[in-house]
Amino acid sequence: MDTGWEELYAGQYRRLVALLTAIAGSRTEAEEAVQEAFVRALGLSGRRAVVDDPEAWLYRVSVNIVRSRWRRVLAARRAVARLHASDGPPTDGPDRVDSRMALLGALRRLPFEQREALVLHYLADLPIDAVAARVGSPVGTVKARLSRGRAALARMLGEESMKGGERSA
Amino acid sequence: MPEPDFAGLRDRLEEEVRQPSFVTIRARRRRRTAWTVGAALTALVVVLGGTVSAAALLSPARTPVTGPQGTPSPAVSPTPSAPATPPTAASAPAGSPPAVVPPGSPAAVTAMTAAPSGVLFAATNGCLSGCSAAGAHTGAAVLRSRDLGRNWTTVGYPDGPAGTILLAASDAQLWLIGDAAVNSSTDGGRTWRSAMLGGGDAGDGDYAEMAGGTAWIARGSSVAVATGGGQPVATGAQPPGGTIDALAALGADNAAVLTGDSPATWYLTGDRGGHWSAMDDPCAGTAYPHSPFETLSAAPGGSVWGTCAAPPASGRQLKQLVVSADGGRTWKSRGALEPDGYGTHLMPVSSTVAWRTGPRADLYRTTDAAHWTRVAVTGDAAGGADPMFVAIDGRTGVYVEQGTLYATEDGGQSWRQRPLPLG
Repeated sequence: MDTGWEELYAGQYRRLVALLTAIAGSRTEAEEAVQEAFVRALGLSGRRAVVDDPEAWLYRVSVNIVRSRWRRVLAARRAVARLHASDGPPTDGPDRVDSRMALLGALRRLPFEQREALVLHYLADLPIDAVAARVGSPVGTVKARLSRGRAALARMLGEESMKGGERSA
Repeated sequence: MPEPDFAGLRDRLEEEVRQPSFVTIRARRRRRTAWTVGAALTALVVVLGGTVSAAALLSPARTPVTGPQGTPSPAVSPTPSAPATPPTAASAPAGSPPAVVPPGSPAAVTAMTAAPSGVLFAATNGCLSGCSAAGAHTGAAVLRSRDLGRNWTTVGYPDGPAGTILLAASDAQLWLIGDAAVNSSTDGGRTWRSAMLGGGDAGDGDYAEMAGGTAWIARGSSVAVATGGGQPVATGAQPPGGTIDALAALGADNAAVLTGDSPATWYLTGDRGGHWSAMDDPCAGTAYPHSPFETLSAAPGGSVWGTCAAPPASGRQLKQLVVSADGGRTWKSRGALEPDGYGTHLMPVSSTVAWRTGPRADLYRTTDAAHWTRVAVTGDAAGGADPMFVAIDGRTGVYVEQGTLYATEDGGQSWRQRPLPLG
């Protein structure tokens, strides 16, 4: 009946949650979205064959779930998230703040499109044309987002390391 | 500076994931199916019981709320005869059968709107039951009710999953705005055309409103307009300031968008987005000037209503009402609003009558643009969405919450449960 969704769940769940965590900035949100995507997948009632690329489908549905939740809380909570985006790494992460958590915090401060492009290219290891196909944008646009995102990350992480240096001095 | 350690981040994020058993996912799917069947049975009982069923006749709490300077306001109308209150997540009995309304289950209705004629349209996802049966439809459906939700007719099937914003310029001209595309119809929803809404950042959210037959749609930092049930077209110029935090459709050619965090600024266009210019802050004379949480809404007749608000936290948000009688040139404060909930979604229907709700907020109504009466207890738990309320006029409206549809024709004094369209 599940026609392969369970195998996909066993093999892809952790990877999808990791990607969504990097995009959503919250592991809780990511887990809820990915689980909901699998719940919806089971609602396809054995029609997995109609989904050309199940992993891409699950990713897109998960991202849409996260986006929908952001929208449903209207401007208020979204703006709060932006206002507090510079507070540091996500609160549901581990206590120790290392360079990887600093990177996660910096990703949160990027515009969504840049963040998604960086995550798909560097975390999911997708080539640029696959990223373009996944997000529905031209290759040139994805390249520009990657370039701008990298530059912004470099600025933010540079500031972080400088702050760290000052603290340890 | 070292290279960002993307691989290390990925490994660490994957290591931290605790994967629940797939049995959990299957169980959620079964509960979802059971819920849709249970809701359908509930709807059937309501229909069979007739519209005067005591069980279906519901009356909300009508607690006076703050008015100007926070003074208690009188109830607008006589005390309702029936004391019952629409069920909420908080008030539902703990032993409620999950087959009817399991906590956290989304309603099948994803969007609802009313045409100027009062005809209701609803977008739904999925199917009633037996989705694997031959001929069963899975996906988005749009339904129509000509009698305030008593009866629903499926009129058509837009492409893809149902969107979260539905607009109706008339009984024929509709738009359904979704994550990936905007579906539009010129024949009352029977047929749909799909178009990508480009130029924006979908992750930052959508806003869409009707005014003067024009659908104004904002996504990310971009604005598009559509008329006649046609597809949206990006405006000639885009407002400065980046991501849009609020949209107010003020007329066929007039709209305002709020951008920027500190300070937030409203930008106004009077030529369908050909030019945008900064407008004076409606909240300049309040305790919350240039707040990114401001909202504006236009009322028929030219008045514009606004909320000025502090950052929300823990289900509370300090907020204040401002009203302009001259199209937004000058503003007058109409006092503080209740601090509970994020009730900044205004729906004025005249210069003095309006409804208001929002995430984690109850539904309020005013008849003098100053004193608000709570007409339905809709505030829900943390993380909940705002109730899906549609104002048809000053006395008539419907809302969907927790998988149930309620309708009032007396300004919220009493509410009747209606069969919920499930697609």
